[in-house]
Amino acid sequence: MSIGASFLGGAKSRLLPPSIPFRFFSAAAVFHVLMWLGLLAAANEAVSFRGGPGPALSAVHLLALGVLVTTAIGASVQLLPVATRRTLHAVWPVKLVFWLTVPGMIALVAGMYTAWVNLLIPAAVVVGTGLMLFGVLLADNLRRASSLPVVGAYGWAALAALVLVASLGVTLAVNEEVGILPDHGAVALAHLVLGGFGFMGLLVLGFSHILVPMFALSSAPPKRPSSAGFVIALVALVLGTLGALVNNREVLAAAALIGLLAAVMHLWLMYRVLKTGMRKRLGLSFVLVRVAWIMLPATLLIGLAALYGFAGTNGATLFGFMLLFGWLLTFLVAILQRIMPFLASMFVTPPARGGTAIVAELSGAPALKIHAICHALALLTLAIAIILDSAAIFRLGSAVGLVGALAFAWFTADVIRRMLPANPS
Amino acid sequence: MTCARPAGTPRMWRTADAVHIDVRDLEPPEPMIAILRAIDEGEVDTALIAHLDREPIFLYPELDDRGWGHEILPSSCASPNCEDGVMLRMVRWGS
Repeated sequence: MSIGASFLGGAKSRLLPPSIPFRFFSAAAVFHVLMWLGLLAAANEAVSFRGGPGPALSAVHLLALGVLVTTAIGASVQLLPVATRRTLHAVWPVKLVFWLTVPGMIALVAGMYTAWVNLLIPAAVVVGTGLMLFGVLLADNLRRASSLPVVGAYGWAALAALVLVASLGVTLAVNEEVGILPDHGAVALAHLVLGGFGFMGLLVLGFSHILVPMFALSSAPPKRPSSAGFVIALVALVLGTLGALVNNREVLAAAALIGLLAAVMHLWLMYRVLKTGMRKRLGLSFVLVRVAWIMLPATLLIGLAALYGFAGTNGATLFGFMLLFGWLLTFLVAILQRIMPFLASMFVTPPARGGTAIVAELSGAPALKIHAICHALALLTLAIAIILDSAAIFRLGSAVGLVGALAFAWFTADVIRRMLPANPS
Repeated sequence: MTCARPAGTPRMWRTADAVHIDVRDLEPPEPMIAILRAIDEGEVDTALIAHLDREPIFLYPELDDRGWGHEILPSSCASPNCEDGVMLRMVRWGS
């Protein structure tokens, strides 16, 4: 048996079939396009969005659920079993997660767009069920992750946040019909904090401890400061959630300050990883990663300023925008453009030289350059639009973002096209 | 070869036909880094056999970039999916 053939057999035994992660990544790429379309259509409302059903809320959830959560599920189910050495016993639960969450998300954003509670509530329950099933799969893998204590700690905390954010999401949907919550806005802010900084944020911070060193060819960050950073981030999250629920500005401010400390520690650890890495030229994806890293403390500073009225009339909107678009979306598209060609390379024939060719050819793809430029321009334009409360500028920024999302969808399709002839499963 | 797992830093030794590196029990991505360092620093003049406790899928593109081929060897547990580890043989193309 040739070296290449035996390698392919080994890799396939431990990787999921490519259709599994790529169905999540493809859905995320489509939701990405729909999200920018939604913002374009809802510019008048979105530029000063504070919550409540309507087109802006549906666009926000196209991003939060459609792009961010879908990407996180696809990456987690593929990469965690490899890292923890725990092969999934069956693929059907992951497929079921897809068929619950993705159609559920489509129904949910439709319900939000139309403010039709008869669609909104069952869709929220279906998405929540899918996320809980994903949570079970994640927990099953995390309990085997004893060799990755820091990643495991972030994973467990993210899982707890997922349960809470999904529960609050269903409660908010039900509240649209029966009005059970005394302060809908407070619960909605807690939902944002738990979803953005909790589930997604903790997953991003945790996975960074393994993915960034792998890309930079560096040792993992030292355990003690990493663990300290995790504890500080968790304290900030708990305080932020409680502060939102009880609507207490001082508690929220304390959460933001502690969160800033956690962010600075994380960035310092990542800086050390890059500085000591064997690979210095990290390409376009790490330009976006660096932008995302700047956005993390910037988000917390803007949140702090908004609490005390120093961020303008749309300070709260700017905070949510920086969190979801500036930090999380930028980071995830950066990582996604890195791991998709890599995963595709594992399934081409012959795997050795063919795989390398895919990674090399796609790392500098024109579509990625167009996406990066449009993404950065859209971030800047939308931030200016929110500060100036200008729907016209917001519309312009959304159009630029849409062009970037289309380029990213093209890139995703190109990756899949190169992989399909070798493995049609 | 036994399935014993020394803790701590990677251990290297030489046999007649290969240089061996044991990176079991190291936390990812340390196994990959240790293997690439051994290759990049010219410590391997024949084949390199790595003893790992998980398949290093992120390593493969790096080996390709450096002109090295790779194959999974049958482990002491007689299965490529042996929970006790993976043995990966790497050779420079053309050698």
